[in-house]
Formats: sequence, C-alpha cells, structure tokens
Amino acid sequence: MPTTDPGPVFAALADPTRREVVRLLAQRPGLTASALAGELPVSRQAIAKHLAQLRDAGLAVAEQSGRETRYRLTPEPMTAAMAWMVEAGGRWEARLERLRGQV
Amino acid sequence: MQLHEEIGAVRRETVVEAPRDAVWPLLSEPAGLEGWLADEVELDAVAPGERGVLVEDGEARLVTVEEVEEGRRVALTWCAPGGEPSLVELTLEADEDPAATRVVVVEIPLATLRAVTAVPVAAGGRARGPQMAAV
Repeated sequence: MPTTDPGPVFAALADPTRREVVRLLAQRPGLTASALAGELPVSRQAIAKHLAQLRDAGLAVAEQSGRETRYRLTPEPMTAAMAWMVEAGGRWEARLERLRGQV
Repeated sequence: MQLHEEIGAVRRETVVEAPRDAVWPLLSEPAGLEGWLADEVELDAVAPGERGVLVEDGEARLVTVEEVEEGRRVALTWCAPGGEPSLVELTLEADEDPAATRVVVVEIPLATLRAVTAVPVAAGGRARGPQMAAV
C-alpha cells in the first residue's frame, strides 16, 4: 500500500467543481481566484473555498504575485491516489479471474 | 456522472458462463466468497451488520457487510491495516446471453464517498445505505 494516505486527495477530487479547478490550473498555472470564478459558474467566494480544500489536500499552492494571489497545482499527492487505483484494480482483476474459475 | 473514471473509484466487470442463481451463492455465502474474494473468509453470514475478517496474500482486512439485495447485490466496507477504507459493491447483472451473468464490482474509498454524499457511510454497525445512487 502507498505510504501516503490518499484519502484527502480522493475527497478533494470527489467534487466536480474542484475537478474543473484542477483542470483549469493544469492548463493555465498561475490563475487567480477571480480568474477561476470567471471561468466557472460559481462565485469567487465558492472558488476560494474550493482552492482552500485543494491546498489542504496538498494539490495546490498559493503564490503571492504583487497584490494578487496566484494558484498552481502540486500534483505529487495524486501519486498515492493513483497507486491505490492501480493496486485495487489489479487485485479485482485477479479476484474476478478466480471467480470465473469457481463457476 | 462519470465519477468512476474521474476519481479514485475502481470498476471492473466480468461475464461468467452461469445463470444468476448459480452465481449468487458465490457472493451470498462465506464459503462461496472464500476461494475467489480472499484466501480465508471469517464471516458468520453475508448479512447486513455482520463483521469479520478476510485474509488475502497473508493480509487481513476487517470487513463489514453493509447491504444485501437478495439475488443481486452485496455491499460491504473493508479496510486493510494501514490502508484506505473503502466500500465494495458486488452486483450481478443480466447478460445478453441468458445463460451467462455479468459480475460488476465497484470499489470506492470512503473518503470519496463521504465527500460526494456528505452522509457518513455506516462505519460498521447497522447498514445505512452506502448511497451508491449518488455515485
């Protein structure tokens, strides 16, 4: 099993708006909360909350640029989540193969 | 909603050459689960609220049966030591071939499920509905 707990990453990425924020930040690193709010059908306040959750999960960082706060992705925590998916998927393939053998 | 593909949930399926009523005991009885789901299944019955242990590759997982829909579906939660607790849903579906059965499994980390549903899945104890409909 991965040593890093992927739980916070799964929780952070469970929300469709946060996934959109991640997608936008992946395409255009350095977007501000206002710029993100301009791209998505949610308020700047809501975006700020989503960004806070992404930061808490270690998926994004805020960087001060003059008077603006810009965000960029830090995708490293996704590694543990991806490892969980690969391992769980592989185990299910083996289990279902055994199930076929039982019938 | 394509949640399964987009986030940490895992979905796998297979078709077995047997009708659903012949496959169901492999899901609904501890002896049926043993031999494919895990090497050892220490569970008195596959019934909501039952708790036990599954041993696979020498690793023990604590398991709780959450829901049983007779002849069709078993939902359970499990967790390996130091692992990510998750919900497992095993479902039997009709196949185009009436003599065959489609077995679908979905495993979703509880962290994902809680974030999606905002309803805590019964962490052991009474089955309160894994809220799969929302997923």
